[in-house]
Amino acid sequence: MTAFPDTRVSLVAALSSDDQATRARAVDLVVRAYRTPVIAVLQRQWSLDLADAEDLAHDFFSHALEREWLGRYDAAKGRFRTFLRSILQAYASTAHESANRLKRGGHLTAVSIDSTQLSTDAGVDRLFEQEWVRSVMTIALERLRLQCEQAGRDATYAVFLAHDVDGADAEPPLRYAEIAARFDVPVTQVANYLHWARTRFRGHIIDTLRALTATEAEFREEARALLGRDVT
Amino acid sequence: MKTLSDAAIARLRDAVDRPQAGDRYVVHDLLGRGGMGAVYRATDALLGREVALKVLTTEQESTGIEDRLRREARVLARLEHPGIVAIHDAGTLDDGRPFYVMRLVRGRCLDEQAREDSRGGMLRRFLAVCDAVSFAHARGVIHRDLKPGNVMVGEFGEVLVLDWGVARLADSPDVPGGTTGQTDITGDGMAIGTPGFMAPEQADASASVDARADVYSLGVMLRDLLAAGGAAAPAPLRAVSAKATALVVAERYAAVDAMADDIRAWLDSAPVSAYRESPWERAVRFYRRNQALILLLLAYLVVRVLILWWRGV
Repeated sequence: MTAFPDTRVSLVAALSSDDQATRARAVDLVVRAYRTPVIAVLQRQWSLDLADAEDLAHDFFSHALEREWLGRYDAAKGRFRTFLRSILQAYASTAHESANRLKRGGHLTAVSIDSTQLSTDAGVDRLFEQEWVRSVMTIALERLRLQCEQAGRDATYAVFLAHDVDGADAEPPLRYAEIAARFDVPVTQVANYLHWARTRFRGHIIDTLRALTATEAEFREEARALLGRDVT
Repeated sequence: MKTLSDAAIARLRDAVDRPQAGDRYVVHDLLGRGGMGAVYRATDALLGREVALKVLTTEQESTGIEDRLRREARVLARLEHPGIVAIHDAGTLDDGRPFYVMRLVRGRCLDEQAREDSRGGMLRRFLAVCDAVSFAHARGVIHRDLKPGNVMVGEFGEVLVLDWGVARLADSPDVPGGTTGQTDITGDGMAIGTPGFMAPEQADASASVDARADVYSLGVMLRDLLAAGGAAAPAPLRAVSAKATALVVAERYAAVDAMADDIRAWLDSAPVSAYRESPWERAVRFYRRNQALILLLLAYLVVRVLILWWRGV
């Protein structure tokens, strides 16, 4: 049985909350989680260079907040991630058409987000998901850093970063003994640090996913996409 | 914060996936993935020793497979034998997945070890495998996935049969093969085993499988181990392997012990039941078995002849 009711207040309610601080926090999280995937899609699908993609992403989120598009998300119709992709598609298409029209001496058109078809390019979808995973991981990592800082566990975070993040590319793989020597701690302490940090990091991933989803079903679906497994 | 690399993402995913087994077990690196789960090196903080922790991998979770892991733990628990890896503990991870903890075996697979062994040494290790499997059969457990990769040779030379995840429990071990009252660790209607090593009847999900399926797998292992030795295998040993891997179940050894007896017989230069030898082969075997006595007798005869010749002169 799930530990949460089927529909939670998290994302849906937070995005349309009357409380400005709650709404701002939700919007901030959405932007942090989706800015990079949005930029990546704009670059790939619309062939924009990085600076133009960043500008358009900024305009997209500003537009979405101004028009309260995010508050129009209906959890019953699908995942928030899919909803965001569809309104991005609508926005980018319109922006692209407007840019072409302006070049020909025409005028800007209004964006409609109600009847947008998603791109069928599987590569773009994969890229969007891949960058979304990267963003969620980055948010969780930042939360872990703050937690370690507040708990006076800077060494724990440093060891975790050295082994599981910076050391991920090392070939041959880093050994605990190397990390222990680098930080001047016993090997057993490296194992303890990593155990502690991984447990908390996993918790931050789950918390972030819960905050980014509206229903238990959506949370489970996103957790499966990110972690490859069901999370209870 | 800098952008996480793809390798970092993969490592972090692995870190998140890594079993969280409470405060007692600190899980370290992944040792390997099998058909049912992943095995990690871990530290038992309570007893201060390194152990191996087996858990379902995330992609494989389903009710049936969870049951299989729990049953594998129970199978191992009832098989206390020096040739079968010992189970220390079992439980449920913080995320709900079942796990069990077993002895951490440091060593290498049987086929790797066999490349360095003499033929006699290899056969003695193989006999240790037979002993462990025979012990399991006596307790109503059929392994069903015997292959060199599932046999480890530890750092003290001990031989350990691993991976009992697809074993079958026979409730009537006194029945030859124990085909009655079986409990299957796996789901119904599934072909179980590793192609190349599994008996033909294992490929037929509807066929009954008994201890002779393990005899077949051991026969394939023996054939491969003999081939790994490089030199042509002696005919009696090839006959042992051929009998063990007979396609018709009834033509195989009825039990692992019978196969092991034949191998011991060959090591002792005694007749091998699976092989009909020619008179010349029998003579050669007789000579090998009684080499010291025959040489002593010959020496005595030579000395006697010399003495007689000297006296005659």
